[in-house]
Amino acid sequence: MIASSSLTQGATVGRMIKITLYSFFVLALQAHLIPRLPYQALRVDLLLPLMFAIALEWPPLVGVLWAGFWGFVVDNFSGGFWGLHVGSYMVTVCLVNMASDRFDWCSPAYQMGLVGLCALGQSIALGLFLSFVPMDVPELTSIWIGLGIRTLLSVTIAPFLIYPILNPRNTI
Amino acid sequence: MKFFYTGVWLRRLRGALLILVFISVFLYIFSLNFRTPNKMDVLQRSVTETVSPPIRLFGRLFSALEQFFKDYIWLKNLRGENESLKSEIAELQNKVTSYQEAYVENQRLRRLLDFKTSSMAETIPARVIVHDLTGWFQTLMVDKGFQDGTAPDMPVVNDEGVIGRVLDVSDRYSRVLLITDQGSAVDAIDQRNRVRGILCGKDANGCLLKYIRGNLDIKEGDLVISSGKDGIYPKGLRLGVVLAVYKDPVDLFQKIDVKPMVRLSALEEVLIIKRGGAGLGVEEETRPAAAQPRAEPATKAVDKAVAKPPAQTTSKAKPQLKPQTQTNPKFRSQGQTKQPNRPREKSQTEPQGKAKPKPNVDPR
Repeated sequence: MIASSSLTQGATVGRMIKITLYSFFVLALQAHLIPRLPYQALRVDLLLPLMFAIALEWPPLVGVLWAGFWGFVVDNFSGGFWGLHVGSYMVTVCLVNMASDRFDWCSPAYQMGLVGLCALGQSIALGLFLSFVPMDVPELTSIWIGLGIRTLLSVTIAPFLIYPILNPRNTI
Repeated sequence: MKFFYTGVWLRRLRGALLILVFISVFLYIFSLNFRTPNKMDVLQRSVTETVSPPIRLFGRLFSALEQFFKDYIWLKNLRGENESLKSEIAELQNKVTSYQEAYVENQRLRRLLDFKTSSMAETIPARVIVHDLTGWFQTLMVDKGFQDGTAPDMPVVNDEGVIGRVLDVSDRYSRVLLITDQGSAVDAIDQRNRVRGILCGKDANGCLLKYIRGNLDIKEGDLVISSGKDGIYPKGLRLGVVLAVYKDPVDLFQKIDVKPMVRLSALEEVLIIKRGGAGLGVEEETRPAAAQPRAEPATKAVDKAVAKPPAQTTSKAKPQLKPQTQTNPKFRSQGQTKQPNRPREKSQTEPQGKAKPKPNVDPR
């Protein structure tokens, strides 16, 4: 019984380390790869799909705290619109927890759907923030189109980012 | 029964407290949007100081990998040859530019020399750690902070021109707001005819020169420099080149697109100009004339040209001295040219093949 318990504990710690390292890897990718992309529309938020996986892996409270921490890190390094990432990541974790009983989250379609919903919310918030500065209609339109494309890209890449954590083979 | 109710009550209290804590934390984070630039608080500092080194390490690995692919796998010889040819062209263009402007330089040499001597502002060389993570805001993080003497609102430049200003400082890192950020505003003048306006950030690729009346003469290719009137940026730093001018007969002001001189997306090293340094900027203007006898003619001439109401002169003002850039010997060895006062617009080569617009400089 004790051996089984320690084994489970060891596996949990191992998974926590794995998730931490993976989160950091994604953050590093976000830091060094995304800003280099030539078009703003391509600059997706890689950590948002990750929060989806975190919500399924960890208990709600831990997941929310984790999301808040990484949101703060991203907010800190972007330096504009404080609270955007903290809020969106925490909302993502909460949404997944609230709907976890009703959906089969191993299905990429559901993953993409919920990540898309959260990315859309994030993009709308970002768009409203950027719209505070007076600008012409074409510029505003291009910003919103860019945000739309960004949302679609987030949806597309979501399963690829979630897979390393929510790999069914690992969970079995 | 009593214990049962107590347990339920405690559980509810715990839930309420948890929600309260979350709301408080979120309000704190949201309140950061409205604070004035200052030293980062404990939470920001701890996150910045902890997360920056690994990100930096990853960046180096990433750069090394990228360099490896570029140098040894992907067209090794062609790339080397291309680089050498580009540098040769840049050098030749620089020479041609210098010959063309020899006459103008000769006329202004004495004043320039005086100004150059007095413009040796103290600078802090810094390396860019990371650009804005999201790519939607125009900020970057540099590896010099409070311990190195940086403070909020210090101008950040490189040999090409103005990059931005320090927004927040941590112990060893600082956040820089680029001039292309929508929250950035620089008091600027057109170098050709001294028309004054406000250079605001537009998007990652450009800025807008605002509040220039429709009847004033602004042309494509005009060089826009800092006026030194905003109390942050020293006078004469190159900001950008006028890319397009849109005049609407109905509108009071014209819409002017400005392309920054610096390629902000590819920054690696920057110079932070220490406030209160000798020479450049407002400090120099306010210094008593007796304290700087050599610089007097230059500052007088510049003041004469700029002291008029904003944007009210079209072409009669004397041309200003050439835009100044910082000359830190340590930094120059990392790739800066040895001719800081010579406009480098023609010599700048775009790595991606994009030619920078050529600024119009009044030859008088």
